[in-house]
This record gives sequence, structure tokens and C-alpha cells, in this order.
Amino acid sequence: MRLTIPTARVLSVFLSDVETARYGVDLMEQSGLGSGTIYPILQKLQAAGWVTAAWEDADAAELGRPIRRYYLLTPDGVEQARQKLAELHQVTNPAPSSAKVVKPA
Amino acid sequence: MRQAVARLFVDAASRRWPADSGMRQEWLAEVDYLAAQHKPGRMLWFAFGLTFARPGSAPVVGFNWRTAGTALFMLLGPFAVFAASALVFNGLANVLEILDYGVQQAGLAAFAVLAGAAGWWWGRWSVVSGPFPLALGLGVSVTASMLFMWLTGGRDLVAGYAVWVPGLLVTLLLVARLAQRRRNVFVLAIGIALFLVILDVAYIAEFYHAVGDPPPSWHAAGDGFTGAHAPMWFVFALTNQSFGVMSYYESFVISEDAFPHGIVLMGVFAMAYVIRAAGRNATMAKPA
Repeated sequence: MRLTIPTARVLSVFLSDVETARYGVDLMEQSGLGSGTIYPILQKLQAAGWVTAAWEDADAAELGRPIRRYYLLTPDGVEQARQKLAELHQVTNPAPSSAKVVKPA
Repeated sequence: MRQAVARLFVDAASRRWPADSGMRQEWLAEVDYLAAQHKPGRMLWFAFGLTFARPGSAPVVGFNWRTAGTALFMLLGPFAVFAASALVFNGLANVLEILDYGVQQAGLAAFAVLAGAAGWWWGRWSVVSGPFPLALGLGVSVTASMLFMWLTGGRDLVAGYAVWVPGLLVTLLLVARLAQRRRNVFVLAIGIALFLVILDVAYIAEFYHAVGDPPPSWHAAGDGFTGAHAPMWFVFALTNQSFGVMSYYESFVISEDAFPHGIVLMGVFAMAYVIRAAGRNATMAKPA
């Protein structure tokens, strides 16, 4: 899967706590991305098998609001996301040059 | 009021996603949550932003070959299918001098399969996937092709247009919506069957005015048009078989005045294209 910067931001939010399921507005607030960006990314991540989605297991009447859909990284998604983000980090932060620095006399 | 506006945005945005993806329900839940949090600005911004959300696998419309191919095959595909079949039939007729009736029927069946395959193939690559634009685009294309053939001297339905044009549009819209939920081949069979019924009604509309009129004096004696035979008029025009029901005069007039094979081929192409394009959108990843 091609890793774009917005996708990397979404994955970073998921990886900040892999046990926590996230809902759309939460992901928006944490990543700083708009709703029009978040949902296509979530769909792509699901298609790739990195993320699963599940409706809240609760009664809407008891909650006093409609049930929401939560998203969670799959074990494979955690591994893949960590690897991809590490690769991205490597590309965007190249190792410091080993050339000698000439200091002024 | 602001929540109603947000809901309108959500409704508009959710139409671009598969009907059973649950996106509308999910987004409305978020709108309700933000409204309950007394964040009307964020709620509106959230809902407005969704109008830009395209399904993840949706192809991008732009200045590219795929968009050009979509425009070409939506607008000219039906006519191209008909023109190709006419060229082959004319070529065969020139070679064989008289086309055996069985050859005609086999040729029509073969071209119907080819028309369906062509529509299916191009529908797969269509950048348009919404039921309404698909139905409108293909419906207008088929209608324009039939009008062109009529204006250039082809034999065609005239009164029947009032029946089959809206019928085709509604059928295309219906099958596109069904394709978002059901198996495509089943929907294709339903769509073609429905379109054939619509064409049958169009033939009734076309020729019913002649019911009760006696055959002209130059014609051999016999019955004229009979209302009870009306459902068979289209069947005869398509298959050249009246199954012993129609009078000789009915058969003569219908075979001279109406030629349904072109519209059937174009309808099959349009149906296959619409179903594949709309169904492709539905087969994209669906959230649980």
C-alpha cells in the first residue's frame, strides 16, 4: 500500500496506542486531518487488512446517542504500519554524513 | 437548523459510497455526537468535509485516458455496437446473398453477447459510478443513437419512443441501484428482461392505432390488426416468429416498419456497462 503523508498521520495516531479503538472524529482531532481525508484513508486501510471496523456494542437508547463505528489496527496492521513508518522516517531523515567536518583554524 | 444542514451534507456525501457501507449511519452518529458536545462549527465542518470524501478505490476523473475512454464509450459505445453489427450483417448478406433466418438469429445472439461483454469491460474502467449519472449518460446515448438512425432514414419506432425512452432510463437507474447490493449477473438478467417487456409495450403503443382497421384493398384478404395480438408484435419483430397467433397483414406491416435489433443490442450494452460500473463501486472494501 502506498503510504502518503495523511495516511502516515492516521497510522501514527493508531500506533500511539494500539489497544485503543478510534472513531472518526477522534482520528480527525488527533491527526489534524479533515473528514473528507480520514474516511477514504480508513477504507483503504481496511481494504489492505490493516484496520478493522466494528460498531459500538451498546444500546443507543442507553447511551443517549447513536452508536458509533470504531476502528482498530489489526496485528498485521500494527506490524506493517510500524515498518512503513520506519521506512518513511529513514527516507525523510537521512543518516548524518560521515564526511569529516573541516573546522576553521 | 445547523444540524439539519449537516445532515443534508451527510446525505449528499453518502450517496457516493456503497449503499450498504454504513457510512451514512456512521457520519450521522458523529454529527449527533458533535451536536451534543455543543460544537456546531465543528459539526458543520465535519459534515461539509465529507462532501469531498471519495470512496478509497474510486478512480479519479481528470485529463487521462480512463476519463477519455469513459466519455467515449458512454456516449458512442451503444452506437458503435449497433454499427459494428450492421456492418457484419451487411457484409454477410453481400457474401451469402440471402441470409438464412437461422444465421440472422444466431448472429443477433452472438452480437448481444458481444455487446454485453463490451459494456461489461468498459463499465469496469468507468470513472463514473453513480447510478443517476450512469443511467442518464447511457440512456441519452441510446436515445440519441436511435434518433440519429431514424433521422437518417432507418426504420424505427416513433410513437414507442414515449414508452421506451423513460422506460430505459428508469430500468438503467434501477439496475444500477440493484447492482450496488446484489450479484451483477442476476441484475443483468433482470434488467434485460425488464427492458424487453418495455419494448413490448412500446410496440403496442406504436401499432395499436391500427387495431380495427381493415387491411388495405391491395393486400390479400385476411384480418387486420387485432388488439389481442398486441403482446406478440414485438416478439414477432425480434424473432420473426408469430407462433401462429398473428395475421399475415400484422406480420407484414411490423416486419416492414419496425426493426428492434439495434435497440436491443444497444440496451444490452448500456445495461452491462451501468451494472458493472455501479457494481464495481459496491465491491470496494466495505467497513464492517
